[in-house]
Amino acid sequence: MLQGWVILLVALIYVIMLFLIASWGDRRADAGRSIINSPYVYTLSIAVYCTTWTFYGSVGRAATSGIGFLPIYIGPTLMVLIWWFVLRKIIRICRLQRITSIADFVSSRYGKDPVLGGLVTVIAVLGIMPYISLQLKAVSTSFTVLLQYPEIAMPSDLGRVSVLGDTAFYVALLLAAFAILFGTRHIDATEHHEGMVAAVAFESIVKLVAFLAIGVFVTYGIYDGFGDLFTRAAEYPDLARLFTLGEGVIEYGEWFSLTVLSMLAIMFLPRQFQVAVIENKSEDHVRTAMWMFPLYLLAINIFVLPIALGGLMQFPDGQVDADTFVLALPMAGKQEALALLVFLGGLSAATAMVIVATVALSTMISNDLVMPVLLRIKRLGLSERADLGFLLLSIRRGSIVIILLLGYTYFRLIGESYALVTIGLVSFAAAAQFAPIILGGVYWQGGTRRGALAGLSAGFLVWAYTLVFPSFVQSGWLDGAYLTAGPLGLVLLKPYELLGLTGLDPMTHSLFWSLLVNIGLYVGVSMLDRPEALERSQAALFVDVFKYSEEDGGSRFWRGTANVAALRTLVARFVGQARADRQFNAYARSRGLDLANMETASPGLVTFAEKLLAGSIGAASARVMVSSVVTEEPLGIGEVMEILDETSQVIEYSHQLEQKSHELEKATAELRKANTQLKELDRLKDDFITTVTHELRTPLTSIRSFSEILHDNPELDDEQRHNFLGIVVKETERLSRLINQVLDLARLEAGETDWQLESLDLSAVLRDSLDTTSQLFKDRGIALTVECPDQVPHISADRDRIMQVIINLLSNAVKFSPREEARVTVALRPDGHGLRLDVKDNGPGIAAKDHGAVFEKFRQVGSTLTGKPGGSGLGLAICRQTIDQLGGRIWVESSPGAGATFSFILPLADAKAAE
Amino acid sequence: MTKWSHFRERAIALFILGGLVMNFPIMSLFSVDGFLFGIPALYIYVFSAWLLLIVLAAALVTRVPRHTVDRSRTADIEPRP
Repeated sequence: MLQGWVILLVALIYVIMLFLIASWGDRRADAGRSIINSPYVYTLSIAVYCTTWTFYGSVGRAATSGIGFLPIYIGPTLMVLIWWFVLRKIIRICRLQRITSIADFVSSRYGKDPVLGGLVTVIAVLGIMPYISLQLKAVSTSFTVLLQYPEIAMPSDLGRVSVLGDTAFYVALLLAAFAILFGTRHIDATEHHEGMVAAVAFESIVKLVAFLAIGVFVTYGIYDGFGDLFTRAAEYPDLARLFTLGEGVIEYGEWFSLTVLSMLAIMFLPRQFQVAVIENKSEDHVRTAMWMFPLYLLAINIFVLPIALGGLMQFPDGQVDADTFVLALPMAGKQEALALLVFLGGLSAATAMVIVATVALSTMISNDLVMPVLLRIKRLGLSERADLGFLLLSIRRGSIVIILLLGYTYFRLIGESYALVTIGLVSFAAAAQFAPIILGGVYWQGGTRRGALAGLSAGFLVWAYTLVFPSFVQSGWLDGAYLTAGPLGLVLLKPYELLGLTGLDPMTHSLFWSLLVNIGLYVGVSMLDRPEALERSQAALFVDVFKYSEEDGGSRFWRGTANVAALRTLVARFVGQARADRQFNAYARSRGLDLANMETASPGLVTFAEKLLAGSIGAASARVMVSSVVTEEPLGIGEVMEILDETSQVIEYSHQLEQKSHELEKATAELRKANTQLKELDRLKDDFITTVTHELRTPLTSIRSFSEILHDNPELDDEQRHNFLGIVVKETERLSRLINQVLDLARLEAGETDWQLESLDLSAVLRDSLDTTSQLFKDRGIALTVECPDQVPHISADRDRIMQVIINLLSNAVKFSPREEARVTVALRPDGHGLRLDVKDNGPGIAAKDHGAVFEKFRQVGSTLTGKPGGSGLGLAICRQTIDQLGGRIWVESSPGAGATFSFILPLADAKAAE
Repeated sequence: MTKWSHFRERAIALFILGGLVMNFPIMSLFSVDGFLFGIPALYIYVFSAWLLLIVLAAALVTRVPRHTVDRSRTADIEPRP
């Protein structure tokens, strides 16, 4: 029943089924009920990792190296253990930056550099070519082998066929058509290819079921379980060798390097990046994939060894290529349906890989290679064209065809002489070259564009030199001497023993050298480099992605002005008018903006537009397009500081700290000043107490001594007794006066005065005061001149208080008058809106620096000049307090040796009332 | 927060453990001419160690505090009509 047409028909039905699933997935997505929004579908789509390499090649590999096929699956198992940190971070970055592919990611990280994006694209395309050719080879081989049924013959036995007679050619075209139909339906590549992912997930089930079926058939159909199979195999010395590790099977060094290689491949193969990152619907799905994906790998690998050993025992003469055991075993057992299922399993493994890989690569080619170039060619005028969506899709479709034809070419040239796994590993090693600049870019802010360019190109060249060129020898393109003696006879440059390094298998050797120069140059150049502002800001956004806000990621680093209408038109040209309108309106709604009345776009809106575009044409191209409508301003020093977030925070802290310490210093200075004042006050208080106690003691002493005399001498005559009692009374009066003064001042300062304000004739008060003190003047023989008009305007004041002030001033004048030719002039006159009183003496005068101090309490200036002036030192302080309280002013004009004039001025009663 | 850092530590520890048990020299201990249930010791070891890693990983991730499902990815882009 396995005629050609049957096989083709089954294959066709299978492919149609895939189409149905894919379009169902797309329809569900359109309806908003995504079927791929599930951790299980996500896990199954990551299982696109298992290609025909796994399906056919693992058995082939196991047939020669035992468990040597396993590191390819152990590596991913280990890597997924840390996915929650590594992969989730990359997913978050891609979502925020609307990244469409691995090339876009690299370009975006290193300052949206189109050159870097292009380089990654070229490396990816060239690197993945062998991998695609492997799929073509596996599918065409399996078809050819199946076609020979019931005979079991290898394609190599059939001789070379022309391109047109080659199954692989048609497989390539069919896969291209499939990829075009499902991978390039929409322009925005960040949108999920939901149909494609659904189909891929389905294919993952098909290949697993098919492989388990053949495994069960071999283990339990042909043999009697695992034990039986292995026991029988152990009887062959050749096969028993495969039960261990080491010489002739797989060396530990190779085991290790293949593990590392596949750890990198599971993340950085373009198609893995596509399904695990770009097509990811929720970061939470990663959690399930972390254990379920390794479980899938384990399941699909359990029967590899039984099948390999079974095949080796069933076909002992080596006529059958081990890569086809999976198919040959059921054929030999006449299990036609099973053979057909296996064929479908292989087909599903191949189609899934090819579709995802070509979609990923075509996005890269269009977004990171072709568009940046086209947009820069001014002559094409692309940046002015109205609708670029169709052009974009055409580029993608064209590149899918080209990629598959390249893969086919590689297959025709190289493929037939190599085992499946060997071909695939070449691609793994190419993908590994992306690891340093991506992991470095995600965890190290210091990585720069030039560093990435240097590391990546060097790694790529070493990869090509040590892994790809040698394969040309095998296919007869290059002279064998290239391998054995080195190019041009330079032994140190032998591609498998670079610089004389021996003892490593070619894969380990190549991986070591390529990653060495890759990482070395990346780190080295980056460290010597000075990144530009955009590089820095992108680096910060990538490395600290979890720190920045979800919504406006990046806008804080954008400085530019753009016209809202221009931005809308630009976006519409790429994504279509309707969608652009919807997106902009949604944006405006979510932020409460009124776009219709907005002239200039906010930085957030510019970033939003750029990301919308990036979803269609990639970060580098989007940047070019947006800058065409945006007048970008260079980053100011402030922004640059902000970009270096950690640094800027530290700087800010230190600024704050500096400020704080300044403030602290200021506060300290103030405190010190206050303290000095306090100390001064304290000293003054001490002085005061000394003065007061002294003043109190003098009358007390005389009171006491005269009282004692009176007490002890009752025989004193009346006159003396009267005299002494008079002294006691006088001293007592003096004592109470002093105490009253102290109390007065205290009350005045506390504002607790009981004022009897009335309209006063100050001239009358002055005359009363002069009467009171006239005896003093007479006693000292002082010539007193009074200038007082008969009528002066009234003031509003407390009579007793004012009188006290005047008496104080007069007695002060008396006190400081010289013993001879003493003159005191008292003058009262209106002055402006007030009434002024001057009391002038011809005493020793007061130095200018002390003019303020004389009014302070307890201050008795001039004591050094004239000795103790006497008095409590409170009189003038009380005067000032009183005058201040009445709204007037008191001051002194004097210079040493020229007498002193104490004056005060009080506001008139009506002037005060007018206020 | 503590729970998160615990998770991080454990995941990395598991990663290191996996790297150790799946490599020289520990694997060489089982690369011997011995059988268990008729299956070569090395095969038994590799597959059971592998399964153990998966079980531990599953036990680990189910204890992760449930991450808030990221709405932003879908919220940014409205469904196509």
